[in-house]
Amino acid sequence: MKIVIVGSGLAGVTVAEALTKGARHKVTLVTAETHGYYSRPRLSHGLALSEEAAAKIVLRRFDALAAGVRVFAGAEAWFIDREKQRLGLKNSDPLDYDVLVLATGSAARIPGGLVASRPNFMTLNSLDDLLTLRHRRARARGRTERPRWAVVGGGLIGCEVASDLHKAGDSVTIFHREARLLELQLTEVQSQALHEHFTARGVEVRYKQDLNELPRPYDGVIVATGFAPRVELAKEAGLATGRGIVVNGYLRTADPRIFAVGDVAEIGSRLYPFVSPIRAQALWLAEHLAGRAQSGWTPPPFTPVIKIHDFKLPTPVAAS
Amino acid sequence: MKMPFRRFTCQICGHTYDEAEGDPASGIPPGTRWEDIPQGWSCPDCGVTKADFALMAA
Repeated sequence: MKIVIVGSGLAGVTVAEALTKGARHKVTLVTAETHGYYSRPRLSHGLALSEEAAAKIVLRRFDALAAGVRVFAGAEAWFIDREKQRLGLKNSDPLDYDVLVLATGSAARIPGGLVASRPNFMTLNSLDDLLTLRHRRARARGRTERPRWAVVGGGLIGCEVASDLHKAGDSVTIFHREARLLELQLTEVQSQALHEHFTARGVEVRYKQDLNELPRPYDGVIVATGFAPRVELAKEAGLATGRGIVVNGYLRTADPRIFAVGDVAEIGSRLYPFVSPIRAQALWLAEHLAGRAQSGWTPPPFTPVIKIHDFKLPTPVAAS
Repeated sequence: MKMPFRRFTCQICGHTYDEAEGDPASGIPPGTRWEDIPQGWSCPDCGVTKADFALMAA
């Protein structure tokens, strides 16, 4: 069976490698990424790292993935021809598939008012983004002893990046739309504890902010206002999409040959954008495609991880 | 002789647990041996379980 996987994040790589263990499938991974396989949760604490430690973020280069996974790196999936069972690639010949797995992940979601000022802010969604940020930070430190950053968004990534920049010795202001930090993941008491943690260390937090305006003047602005699953490929192929690509309990779209997994998979109106459930989905899907998992995927119990340096939450985090 | 501290790495994200350092943010004091970490502990970087960690070569 020819299995083509689009995306080389945790979901795509886990499915691909798990598939090579059992049945003799021809597994091809298509990815726009070129650096290799890395874990995205690490990026938000990638600023305070030394050059040496940052170089270790890439866990494996693509040529070091499990034997039997053929990788098209730096390749953009362009369209799906469902009738011919073909994935069109930009600047390359199309790939035939028996099964297509969409593990396209998510992009940074940008507030509408900021889209036009794109060159004036950065995001932290990929290793390339992190490298750009590190470069910008090094340049800013050439000009000033303590660079000043505006972090737009007080959610998971925003708070983690703010914590990391502060740890690195920089000045940080968080601009948040809501009245408390991490309002989706934390209780009010926990948000308050995080607020006190930040302010006691000189990290300023501004609430009820209009995030459609670019904060200034700062040495750098990082926008971390959520994620947008990359659904375009599926949508243009006529598959149902909501926030993500709509799949059933078998991670299957309405097209029996096309599956979705990871950040991009919407199951029963829910997304599972965390490592544990995504890894569980990917391993389940590999089993299912190998003809073993007969009953559908059920989410494992999991706790979202919140990484703030030197901060311990007062009570456990509720799953969102 | 006391056993030297070991390091374990998360196979999923690359995070390293060093017995010498522990994981104070999760209530694991420095010097805590791998065996003594409760099963409910999870990777501080990505949230996976102890079972997804492997011993690093010294």
